[in-house]
Amino acid sequence: MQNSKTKRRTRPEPERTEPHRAFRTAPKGAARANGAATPPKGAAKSPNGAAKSPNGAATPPNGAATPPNGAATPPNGAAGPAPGGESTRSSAYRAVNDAYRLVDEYLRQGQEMAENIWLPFGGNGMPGWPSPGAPERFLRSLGDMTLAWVEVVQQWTSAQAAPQRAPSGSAGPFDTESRAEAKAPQPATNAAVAPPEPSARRELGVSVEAKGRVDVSVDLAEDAASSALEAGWLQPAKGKAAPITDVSLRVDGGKLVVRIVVPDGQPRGTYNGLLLDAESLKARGTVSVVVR
Amino acid sequence: MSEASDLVRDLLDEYGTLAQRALASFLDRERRRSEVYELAADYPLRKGRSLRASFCIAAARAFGASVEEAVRSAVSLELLHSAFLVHDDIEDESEERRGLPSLHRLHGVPSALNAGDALVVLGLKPLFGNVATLGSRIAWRVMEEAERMVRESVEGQALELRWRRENTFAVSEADYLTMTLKKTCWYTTIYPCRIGALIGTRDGIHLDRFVRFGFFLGAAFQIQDDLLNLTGDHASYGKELEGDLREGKRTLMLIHVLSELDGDARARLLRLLAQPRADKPERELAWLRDEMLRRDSVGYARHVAHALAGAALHEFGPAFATAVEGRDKRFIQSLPYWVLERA
Repeated sequence: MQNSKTKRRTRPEPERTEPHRAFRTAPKGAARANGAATPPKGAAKSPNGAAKSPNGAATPPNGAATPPNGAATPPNGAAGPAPGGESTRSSAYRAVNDAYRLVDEYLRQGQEMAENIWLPFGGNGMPGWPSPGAPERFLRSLGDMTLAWVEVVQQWTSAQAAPQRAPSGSAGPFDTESRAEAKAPQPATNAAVAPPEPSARRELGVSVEAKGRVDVSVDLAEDAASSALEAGWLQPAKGKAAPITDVSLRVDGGKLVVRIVVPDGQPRGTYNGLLLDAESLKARGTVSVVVR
Repeated sequence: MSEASDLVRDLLDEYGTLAQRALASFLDRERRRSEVYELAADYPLRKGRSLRASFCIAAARAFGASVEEAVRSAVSLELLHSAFLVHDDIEDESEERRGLPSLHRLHGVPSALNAGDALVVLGLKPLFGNVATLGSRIAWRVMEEAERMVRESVEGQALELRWRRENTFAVSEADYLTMTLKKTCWYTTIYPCRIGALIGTRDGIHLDRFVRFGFFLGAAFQIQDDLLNLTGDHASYGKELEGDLREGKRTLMLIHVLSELDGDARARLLRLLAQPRADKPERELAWLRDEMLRRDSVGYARHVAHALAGAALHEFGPAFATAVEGRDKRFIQSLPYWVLERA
């Protein structure tokens, strides 16, 4: 039995399920389709089940085109004004009606398919279906797994492209959604972080505190492995939003961890900052944060 | 030439150069790794118009993205487009591409096929790279869209190949438009709109709104391309003229002339279409071309292309209602004009 209190999840209604029929902006000089196609058997039906007649419903183009520059002239040049008499034009507009019917049917089929895919989510009590919520959990896990796969492949392809790379690191982007950072917040510090052992590959980590969704990317120059580093503020790439100032570095078990605290209410946008060599103050890496 | 077409040419030049530069840099790295990528780089570096890449960048910018956020997807699209072209040229036995001999004529079918496969793989790589600029979720959504685009394209190609393999004559205009929707429109016009909007709005827009606009625009583009194959100028067309007649490609002109002919003339045409490409006599091909002109099949197809471009213009409004006003939006709005004016 379907639980009447549980609202079935469906794909959102498309913004439009059939064409506008006014044709106010169609090319100038277009004639009415006399004797346009009669709807074939099994013609496309609108989502509510009413048969759509491409002939009856679709008024053919009869208005004047408004090109982007505002001049109401039809396209000219190589193609020139379309030749042919009334019957050619009628046939041409029958073809356009066919095209409208075809694309409507295509969209309708897509919508039906999407609804069928979503159907199991409302399936409380459906025979043979697992416990409520199981499909969602399964798909969420699948989604997480595939995203992880993308990132692994990306790292793999980057490594393939530059197999001879010197010790360096790149981390992220780290998609935090609205999860709070699991690790205990560390005190922010602007002190330089000591370099690792010579020739050691510098591993990177990111610790983010943010209420909203943010993406973080960190890149480190190839010769930065032996540098003592410090982090600068993250400045907005565009506009005049306040910078993100709580950016610090720490070493955690040999791993360089970039810690970023995004204040509540930080405006959306991209913020960039530098990782500097503590001695020379030359840039050795970048940090980018996209606040969603 | 109209102001609209000038704008399209300017932006194609600007974004096409950007995309070509990114493409060349990407291919340069790959070419050092193996000879197969050297071969694979041939078509992409022949410098087409980069219509699809430019369209993708413009759509993304029209919805608020930066060029940097869209350029990887644009490069991927150009690579996948080249992969389709390599395989299409083999399937169609085409002799020229972008003014030069087709890849299989230069290197043989097996090597060209493999280069086409390499291009498919290369086309995926920039999509992985999207993670760096777009984040995992949007990058994943772009990959889903790419998978759908490739699927629709191969389904459309399969339809056309089946007609030729089975020598099917009963192809209606609706069949032709269905094939065009899948084979041409998806990767030429629908997909660039969809991923542009997807990137620009961070997946905040219902993408089916672009199917109508993309379909009408792409169908007008394809019909105009078929017309140019029959009546165009060789230097600017870049492919061998009348190749479609030789292949027996089911174009709107062929469908029209088939419906106009009867009796002996129809039988003659069916005999011609049943012959393999290499065996089709020049005299018979010239007769078919004349019949298409005499029966106004060319004029008819031109009319349909104009009407479809008008429908595209009409559908532009609702599809791009929320896009930012500016040059990129005007570029997309101008494409229906440009499609008809291009030579």
